[in-house]
Amino acid sequence: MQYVPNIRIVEMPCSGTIDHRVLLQAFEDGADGVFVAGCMEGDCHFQKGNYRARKRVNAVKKLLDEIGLGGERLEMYNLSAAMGPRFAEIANEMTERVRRLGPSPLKKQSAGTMEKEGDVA
Amino acid sequence: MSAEKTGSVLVVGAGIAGIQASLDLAESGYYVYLVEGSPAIGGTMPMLDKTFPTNDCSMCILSPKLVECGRHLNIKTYTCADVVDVQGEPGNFTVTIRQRPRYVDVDKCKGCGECAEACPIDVPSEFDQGIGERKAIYKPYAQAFPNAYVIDKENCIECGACEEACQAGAIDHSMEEETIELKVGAVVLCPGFEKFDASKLAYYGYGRYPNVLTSLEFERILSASGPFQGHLVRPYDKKEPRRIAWIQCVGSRNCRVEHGYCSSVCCMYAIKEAVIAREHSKEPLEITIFYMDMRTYGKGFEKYYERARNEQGVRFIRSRTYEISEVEDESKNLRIRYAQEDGSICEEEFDLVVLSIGLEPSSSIKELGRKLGLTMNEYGFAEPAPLTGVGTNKPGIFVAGAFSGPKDIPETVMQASAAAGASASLLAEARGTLVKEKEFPPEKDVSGQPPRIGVFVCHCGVNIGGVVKVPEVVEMAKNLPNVVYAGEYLYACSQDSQAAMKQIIEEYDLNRVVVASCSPRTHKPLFQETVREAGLNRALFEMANIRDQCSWVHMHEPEKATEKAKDLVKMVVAKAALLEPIPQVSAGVTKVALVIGGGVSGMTSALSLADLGYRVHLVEKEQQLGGVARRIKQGLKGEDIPSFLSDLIARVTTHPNIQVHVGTEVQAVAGYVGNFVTTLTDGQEVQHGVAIIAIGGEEYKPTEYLYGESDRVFTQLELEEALAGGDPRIENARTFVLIQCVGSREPQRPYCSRVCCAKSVKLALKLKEKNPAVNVFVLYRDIRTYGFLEDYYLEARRKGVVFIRYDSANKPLVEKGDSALKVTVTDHVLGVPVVIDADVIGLASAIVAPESNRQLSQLFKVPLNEDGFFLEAHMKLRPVDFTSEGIFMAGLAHGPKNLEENIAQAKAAAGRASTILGKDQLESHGVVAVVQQDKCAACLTCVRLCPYNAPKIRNYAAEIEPLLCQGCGTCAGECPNKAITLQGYKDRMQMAMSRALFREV
Amino acid sequence: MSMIVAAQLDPAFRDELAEKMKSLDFANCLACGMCTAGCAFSDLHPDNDPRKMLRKVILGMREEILKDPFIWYCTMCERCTIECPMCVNIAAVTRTIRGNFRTDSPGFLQKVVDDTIKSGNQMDVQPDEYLETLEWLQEELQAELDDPAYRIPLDVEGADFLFGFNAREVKYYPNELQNILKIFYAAGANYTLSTKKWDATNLALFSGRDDDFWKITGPMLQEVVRLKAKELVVTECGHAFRSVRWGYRTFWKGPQFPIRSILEVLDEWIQQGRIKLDPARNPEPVTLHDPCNLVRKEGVVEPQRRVLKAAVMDFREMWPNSRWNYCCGAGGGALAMPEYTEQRLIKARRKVDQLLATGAKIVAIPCHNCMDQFNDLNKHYKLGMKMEHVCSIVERALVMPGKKPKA
Repeated sequence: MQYVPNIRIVEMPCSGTIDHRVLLQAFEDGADGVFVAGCMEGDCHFQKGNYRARKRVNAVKKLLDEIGLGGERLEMYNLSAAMGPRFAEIANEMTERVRRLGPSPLKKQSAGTMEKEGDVA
Repeated sequence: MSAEKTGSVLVVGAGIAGIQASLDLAESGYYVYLVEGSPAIGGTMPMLDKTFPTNDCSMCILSPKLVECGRHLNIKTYTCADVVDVQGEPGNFTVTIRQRPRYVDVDKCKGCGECAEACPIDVPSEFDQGIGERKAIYKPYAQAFPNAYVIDKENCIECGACEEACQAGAIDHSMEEETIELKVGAVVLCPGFEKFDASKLAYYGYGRYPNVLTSLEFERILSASGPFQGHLVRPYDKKEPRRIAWIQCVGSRNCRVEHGYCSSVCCMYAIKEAVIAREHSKEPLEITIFYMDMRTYGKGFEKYYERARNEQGVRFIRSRTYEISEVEDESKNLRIRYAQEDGSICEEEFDLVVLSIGLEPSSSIKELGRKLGLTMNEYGFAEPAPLTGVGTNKPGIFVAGAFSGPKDIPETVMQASAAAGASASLLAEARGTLVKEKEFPPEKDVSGQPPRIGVFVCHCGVNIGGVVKVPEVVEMAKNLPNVVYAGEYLYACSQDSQAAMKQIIEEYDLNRVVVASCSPRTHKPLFQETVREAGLNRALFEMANIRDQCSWVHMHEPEKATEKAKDLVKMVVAKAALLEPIPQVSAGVTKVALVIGGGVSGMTSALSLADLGYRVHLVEKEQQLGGVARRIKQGLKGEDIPSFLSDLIARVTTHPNIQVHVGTEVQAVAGYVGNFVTTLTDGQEVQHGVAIIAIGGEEYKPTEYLYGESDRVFTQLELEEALAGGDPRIENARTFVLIQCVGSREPQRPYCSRVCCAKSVKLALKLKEKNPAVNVFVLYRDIRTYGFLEDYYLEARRKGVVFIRYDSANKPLVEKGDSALKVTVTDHVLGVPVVIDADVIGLASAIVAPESNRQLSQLFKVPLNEDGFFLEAHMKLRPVDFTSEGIFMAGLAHGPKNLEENIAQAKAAAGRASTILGKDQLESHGVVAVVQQDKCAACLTCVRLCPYNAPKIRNYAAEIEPLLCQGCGTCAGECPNKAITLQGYKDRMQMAMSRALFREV
Repeated sequence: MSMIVAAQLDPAFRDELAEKMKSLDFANCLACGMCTAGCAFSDLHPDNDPRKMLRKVILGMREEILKDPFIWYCTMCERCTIECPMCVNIAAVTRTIRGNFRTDSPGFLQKVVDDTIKSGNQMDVQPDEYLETLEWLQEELQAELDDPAYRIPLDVEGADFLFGFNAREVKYYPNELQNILKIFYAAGANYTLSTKKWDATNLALFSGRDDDFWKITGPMLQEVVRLKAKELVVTECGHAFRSVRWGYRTFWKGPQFPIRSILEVLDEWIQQGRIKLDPARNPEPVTLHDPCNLVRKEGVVEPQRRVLKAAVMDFREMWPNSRWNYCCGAGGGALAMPEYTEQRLIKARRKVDQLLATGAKIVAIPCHNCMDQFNDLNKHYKLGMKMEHVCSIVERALVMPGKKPKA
């Protein structure tokens, strides 16, 4: 199993932990895209964390739309720990999407570190 | 006179039952020897894709238990080992174990897989059911414990390639068999099952037709870790099937091949596979299940079945298929000819046929059973001693899991906990005598110190080093802020690297440690232990996963992979600078149990704990003990229930550790795990560390079939009582009609009451036994005599009991006749009405949850399911636990079950409870959420969201009870004022990581 | 039947049947429908569903069973329950009901049984007629074999085997018996025929009366003892073979001896090189029918296949075959029940479809009963195939050993 090498991963105990600010900070720092990978719906190890995460992600997407960055740069995915191939699929899918959207206008540097999407798992 | 008892237990078989029993015992203060024949623990569960009825990923839920079991200080695991002999007596057994050579040193092997890469020999993989391949040197599956390879000497050509490839020097072709002798106090046998060999039923073509698969092969096809990475294709031509059929009862309910019993799990797993297959398939998939009786009798199963049938488009055809033939073209599709219920014949083509193969005892364990003198049944399964749930005819030897009969995972886990509990009770006086506790040096105080970070980068043989340029990563790390040391290691996890790490921590005065290597899932606890040994708090350690998330997935792009590895290290170092020690919060434990409910389950739990030496308060709302069992005269195997019950009551009431409170109920509950205070309605206050809810169930009072209008219409329990009491209405009756599913499997009660089919069969047999001339008709929807209960169903048919199946849409009609009751039902084979003049009608009325469940649910803040029964923490792996720690359930309060099963569950609840009572101190679970009280507005968001009832409001601010908090951080994420943070995952840590990633250092 | 009144059911019927069958296994039935699907004919004409018949038995519907057409329609081929997971045997149930409860034996089934008891053979061949036929055959063979010394061995004691055959081989198909004797000659077989009891057939296997049955088969087994033969070999007749084997297992109390089909013996001779075959003499495609009594019930599956593969150029299996083969449609004594000819020919459709699918020109039929059905369906369905016994095909391929030079 292989996927594009421009994904950086931040480990969290549960997608439900992730705060709005963390997501926004990643964009502010220069991420072109962010995706949150949570457990399958109904399968949260901590009961309902992934539902909370989806709500928050949706709220931040709206915000990104409002400020003109585009909610498409942020996405929530549900998959289980045994779904390696699906993760690769998502990584590639998200990379394609971000390439299509072009570099983030918030990016402080040009070239060099481009095409790095932070993702939060 | 026997010597002192030995405080250790032998557990044979390391499937889920063996793992659960071992963990429970080790946590309760007993040393465990876990012996497994195969090269890894895990059993069958790792092979399964999803599990019913929750569709959880099997590996995901099992994996933490594998790690916990593998690492446990008080569990010694022997793989590739067989028990040869057990001698001695309860409390003192001598066990002989044959340790077969693995040819790989488990301590040296790092599981990197270089050896398998080098091995030239391909062998069909047992784990993938022969669909995929493995090498002659292999690890059974990715998450296996021990995380070590093994050489299959039968296929090995001794070419030496593996030895050459292994940089850890772990391979030793000269290993020889050893004999090991162990002293134990008790034995738990849970060797599991083998699968039925489908080629024995030649008419289904397994082995001849490539598109006929077994259900276990299909699991591997569905599994993401399987030979097709979870893509639903036929192994034959790798094409996606469009039409799949499941055939049930392959090797079950088959007297011809001496498998007369029901394998209990196949109906559910077939539905699950069908549902998951549809989810996996990109194209529309037609699914058909051929069955005889749909046996979805477990908790939540009936709804799963209904959903599959009504919402997920699974077609269920009630027909046992005669044969499968192959279509004569290269598709090698399959044709099934079958009879519909009205006798008409259909022929259909399928792309794939899955045989739902049954479970059978393994031949090697049958041999061991014989050697130990265990009573085995005619099929070779262990025969548990009656009404013990887990006992055998040999005192001190217990059974759990499928060895004592086919059963699903929750029941296996339950029985395993019960066997652990029973072993623990037997060895109570030796508890704690053989367990070890790890001693650590005092923690260094690092507060106020500037961060001094050490970075250890691992090559993992060539797993990382072959792709990522490790020296470059090390050089980069050396220049990161706060880093005072960076170095590279061939295997960071090896013994010598660990020793070096401790020395470097000392030498460089490190106060934060980062390891860049593999997955924290498997290795974080190991490294944390090392830093703790070096005097650092565990929370001052962090990992960067540069193998699973980097070198493995970017194998062909070494440049970019190296860049990524550097970034990952950069990010983790930035986080590490912010790490703070997390003090372990601990609290004492009140070594007292509260058991609510004085029926068989409650009394059994109480006795088990009392025998372990704990004080127990047993609360019963009625004036006498016994519960619903007082109305039962005979067990399913003919056991004398009244004498069993009076014996049980006598033991409970005379036990010095048990205080019985009758005529009272729970009024108020305060506190948390280890320290509850419960107030009873009689005003007494009870302090206790754990609670077991076992308040039983009730019999549904039917409104149908003239119940209450005619004195000849009885419920099952009433009929049993009348029969035992010599009621003239029964004595003089010539014709009996027993109607099943009265109040169960109905829209208002969409669950199966599980016990009634077997109960009616037994009642019918009893009636026939008293007078063979009476006519007994059983009107049923599906006969659910699972497991060995199927034998009674067969016996009833042979004794002349007539079984007539009805549909829920066409229920029997009961009318008042002149002298008798007139019952009209349509015969399911002949399709014409049968009119029966019944003298007596017995209604198999549902088991319903008592009203008091709701009340207790509120008092203990534990959830109920939609049917009013208590909801367990996890359907599969925590069947008697609540999500809230320290509270357990047993018996009918959890859901319908028969007496034997209730006893097992009651012992399981006691076994689980003893893992808490066995500790002097309870510690919090690593990271927990903490509230900064001055920022808290007491908005109750956290209280509302927490699934574990951890936050409480005190003095207008939230407070999170660390012993209850599980560390998910949902409250921290949601807290509007950011008053809550999750230790080790503070927002500023994540933000520092993103800053480190994007801003050049 | 529009309604079943439980008060009129007779549970004792079930017990009586079990007692006659000496088995209660039929009561194991789960009504799963495997037999209905397994019966090749249940969907071809009405009243042919084994599950429904058994249900009536289990409910105690004595009156219904006493007039159920299924009982005579059933060909007792055992296909439906050969794999029954509950060990039910529908053919055995049918036979027991026929012989012990029904009084309406159709056609001339009972007459043949009575004749066989009287004359010792089912064709009522008289001893002189029998001996004359053999004498004539002997002359024919002397000419054909160019061996004037050739004798058909009669009542020779201590032979390797006694050959039991079918009366129609004497009455209607002496040429087939001639073929068989020629093969025996070529193999140099040490055998004997009996002058007293030589017909191994027994229609009481289908009429279901055990007393009749044993009156017929008992003497056949006795004859082996009388002639001190080492074993009994039976001609290509499925029910004859089944009768002697089943009778031997069920009722025989005398000395033990093996019973084999002639096909097993031919197979052995070919393996041993005792007879030589030239398959080029049978160039046309040949398929093989598996008679239920020989194959499914008595387990003789491979020998006839090996024999045919040695004897023909182009052997083709039909499907399904062997254990799961379709009955020809004339089992259970159907040929003795002319009133059910229509049903018999409807049932034949299964076999017709199978035959056509093979594209064979010759059908090898190792059973006299099936042979009559195949000849009927050949005409009725205009198949234009050649229906032959295996021995006839073997005889055509037989390479006669070179004559020894006269001493």
